[in-house]
Amino acid sequence: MAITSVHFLIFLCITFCVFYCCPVKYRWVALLVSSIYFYVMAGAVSFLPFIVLTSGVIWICARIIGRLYEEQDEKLKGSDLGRAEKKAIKEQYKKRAKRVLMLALVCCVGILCVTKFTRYAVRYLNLIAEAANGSAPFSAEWILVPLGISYYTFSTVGYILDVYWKRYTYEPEFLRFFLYAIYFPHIVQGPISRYNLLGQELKKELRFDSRRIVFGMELMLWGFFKKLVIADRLNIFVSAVYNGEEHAGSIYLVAMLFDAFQIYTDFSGYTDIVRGASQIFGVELEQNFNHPFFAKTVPEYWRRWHMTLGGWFKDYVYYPCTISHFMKRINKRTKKTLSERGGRFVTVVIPVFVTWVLTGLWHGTGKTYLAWGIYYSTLITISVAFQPEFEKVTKFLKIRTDTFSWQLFRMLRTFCCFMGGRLLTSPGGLRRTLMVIKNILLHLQAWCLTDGTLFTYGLDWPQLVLIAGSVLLLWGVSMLQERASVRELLEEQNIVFRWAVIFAAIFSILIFGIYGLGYDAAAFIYAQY
Amino acid sequence: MQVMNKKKVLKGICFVLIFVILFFFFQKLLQAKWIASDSENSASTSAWIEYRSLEENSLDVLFLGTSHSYFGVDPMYIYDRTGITGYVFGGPGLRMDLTYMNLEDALKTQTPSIVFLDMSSIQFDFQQEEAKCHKVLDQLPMTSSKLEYAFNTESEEMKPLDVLFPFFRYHSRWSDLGKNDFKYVLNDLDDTYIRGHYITYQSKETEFHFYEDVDYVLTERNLDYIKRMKRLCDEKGIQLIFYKIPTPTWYESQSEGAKEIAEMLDVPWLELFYEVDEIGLDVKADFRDKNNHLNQRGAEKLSAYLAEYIQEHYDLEDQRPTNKKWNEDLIRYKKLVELKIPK
Amino acid sequence: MEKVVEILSSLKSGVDFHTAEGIVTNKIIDSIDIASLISMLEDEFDVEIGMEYMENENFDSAAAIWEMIEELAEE
Repeated sequence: MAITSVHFLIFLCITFCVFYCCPVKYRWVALLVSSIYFYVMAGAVSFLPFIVLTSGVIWICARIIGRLYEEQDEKLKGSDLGRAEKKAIKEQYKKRAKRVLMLALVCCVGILCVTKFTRYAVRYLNLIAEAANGSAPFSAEWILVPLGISYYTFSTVGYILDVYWKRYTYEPEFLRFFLYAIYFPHIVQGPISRYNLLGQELKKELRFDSRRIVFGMELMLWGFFKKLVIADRLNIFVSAVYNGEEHAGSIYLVAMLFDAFQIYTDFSGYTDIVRGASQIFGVELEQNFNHPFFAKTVPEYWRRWHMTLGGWFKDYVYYPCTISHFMKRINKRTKKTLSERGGRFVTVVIPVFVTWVLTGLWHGTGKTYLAWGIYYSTLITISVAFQPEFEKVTKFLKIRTDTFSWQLFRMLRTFCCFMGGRLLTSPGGLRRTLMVIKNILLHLQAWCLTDGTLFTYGLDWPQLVLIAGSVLLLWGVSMLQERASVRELLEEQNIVFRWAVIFAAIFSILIFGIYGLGYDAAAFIYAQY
Repeated sequence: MQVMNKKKVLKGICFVLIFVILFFFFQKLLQAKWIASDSENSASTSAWIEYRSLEENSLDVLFLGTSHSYFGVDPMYIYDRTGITGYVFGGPGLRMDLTYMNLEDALKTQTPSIVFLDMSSIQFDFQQEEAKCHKVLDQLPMTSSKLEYAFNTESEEMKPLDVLFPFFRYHSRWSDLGKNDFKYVLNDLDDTYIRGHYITYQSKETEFHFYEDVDYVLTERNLDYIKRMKRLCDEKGIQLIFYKIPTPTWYESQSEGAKEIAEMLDVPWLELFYEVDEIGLDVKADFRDKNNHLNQRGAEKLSAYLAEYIQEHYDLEDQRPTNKKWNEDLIRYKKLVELKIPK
Repeated sequence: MEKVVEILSSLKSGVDFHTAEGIVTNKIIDSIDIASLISMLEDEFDVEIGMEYMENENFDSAAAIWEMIEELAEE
């Protein structure tokens, strides 16, 4: 059951009816049941044990940790202990809690790694074995990759770490926690949720509110527009270019541009659909995109793109890494041997690299994603480490930094950095990336843009005009969104205008969306005898 | 609160209503069209438009069947000779199920005295290509038979939703829209005087004999729908006649099969396969393509034969002295035929 | 308190950290600044900032940071 299929819409309608027919107290149960149904339909029954196992282990361990802390607080409160004794008790409990935490992490992250990396490892083992005795003895076909495993593992791991760090207390009811893990809008592709936000959302009284439901539907429409009209249309071109043999450099440049917009509209469109769907039930999911193409620096870009993932890595990898004892020791040593600035440089670089390489591997396994992680770590390190030098250069060149042109330049620069990152992963292998770069540099063949070659990649000129128009619309709406809530603006308008906008959106999606079999004029016109 | 809710419900209803109107507007605009004036278009979308433009209960005879029918029967020619008003409803390779649906829809506005059913359709026990099915289906209103059809298609590409709402099948046709698409939406098409027939003077020499025989078994589905047609005609007091337009794509076993059904249902059976000489068909000149369809010359001969048959067996009024509309259309029609005659 | 403002100012010039509120939530300083900030605070005040304290509200103003340092020093 894909999120853009009719089945999903039917599923949503039925869930909607059941949900609002239930008494308020039991509405979360309706969500739980429909989420399990969705998970099975979108994935398979055989995936269920995995998510039950992961969330079960996390829930039990978090509960143990929580109970340990309660016990500790009891002990500390109950008696007049000296400072040293108190500290000893705290240390002791911290140690016990840490053991439980480690158990949970090893178990859950272990499952994640096995499901994600086994195929890759087996491929290499086979290559080695083939070189040695000419046969490939291993098979990884039996490995299941449960639907949404990276997402639910991250959400649940975040929860147990928060409990361990005493940010909030544990959830006493397993089914509540399980709903948080398997909640259907976020299970397939996020947003990666935090328990203190989504868990609480799911606990509140989920009442019928027509205004919010309309808002949810409008957000879904916008998501469908981005996904079906823009992303899936661009995808025709991008995949035709990247899956084909070798093309002119100019075609690759267009493909890179299209690819950037494709991935953005695809992912953010998807997120809007699920956030809208969730809003219909009164449950707010976290924002995942905040117009990343308006970002002026690469770090800012990643605060606007897939925000929940960036946030997760920041809170659960980057900070722990920065303030770990290991980092502190390195910091001290480098400060002694290097300058103050050198020491700071090292403290920045190591956590950044750890975070970004892991982020890369989270997106996909293999060398390309490793390269992608290193690419971003390097970019961010450069921008941080050489900031004083950059400032000096701008001053020296007498560049006015408060102008629109300078801001535009920074946006374009950031966008190009992003395209560079995509160039590592999109063509399908680093060798192909090199081939693309070679063609752009040596065989640009700019005439391919004007002599009709451009139209041979699945999109004829009406389609390209449509893309241009809808990207323009996307830009306009994004500008509006930066300033105010578009849905609130729309709400204030007269009904004629409001409905005109909504119907225009609905029929643009229905007509211009890429779905179904596609119309083959020849097959239809000649249906004669 | 009560007033608020009422208002909301009213708004909701309005919203749905507007949606439905817009949906069907765009569906009409986007759906594939086979317009007769687009030169090479047979069994066209215009046939349905024309049918609906006829005055209610003004038809004497209806001819149902496959492409053989619209190539082989020329209702205007029959009218010209006898004053009997007729109409051909055929589709390419139609099975009995779609033929039945055609009849069902046709009888909503007309109650002819006689329905001729060409048994060529019993050959088709497989589903035709998607486009051919859509050609008929898109013109039929939402009925229980259409629903039944939609959920029982055998081909992968025919999704129930696409059958019921061709919008979803055709939505990507937006970049192909032409003048006729807009004219069609505005009901502004002008070729409504052809009566479902397809005029062509192409010709090819044909051998006329049975194909080497095959084991032919009438499918359950075809038989079921033939029975339904019989029932429908009985209800309305219409005389149903089975016939076979003389074309060589016909097996002896099929001929026998058709005869059996006719006897079983007590329907007259006209096997014209054996009447080639009687009709006066010239295998050298009267066929459009090898072994298949009649051309205009053949159609006129067959129509003359059918006209005589009808006059002999049924007492239908000669409408020529009174029917102004048909007389006007006949003049236009004759001009069109003249245009098509190769110089 | 003055020391905290001094450290903050060394990270980011052009902001009056005496009065600035919401410096994390409003993204006046980013995560990389925070990493530097922590190491400087730890050196300066001889405390250890654990993950328990890594929350936005503890870093949102100079006053909040100062409060956190005092709390840490007590332990």
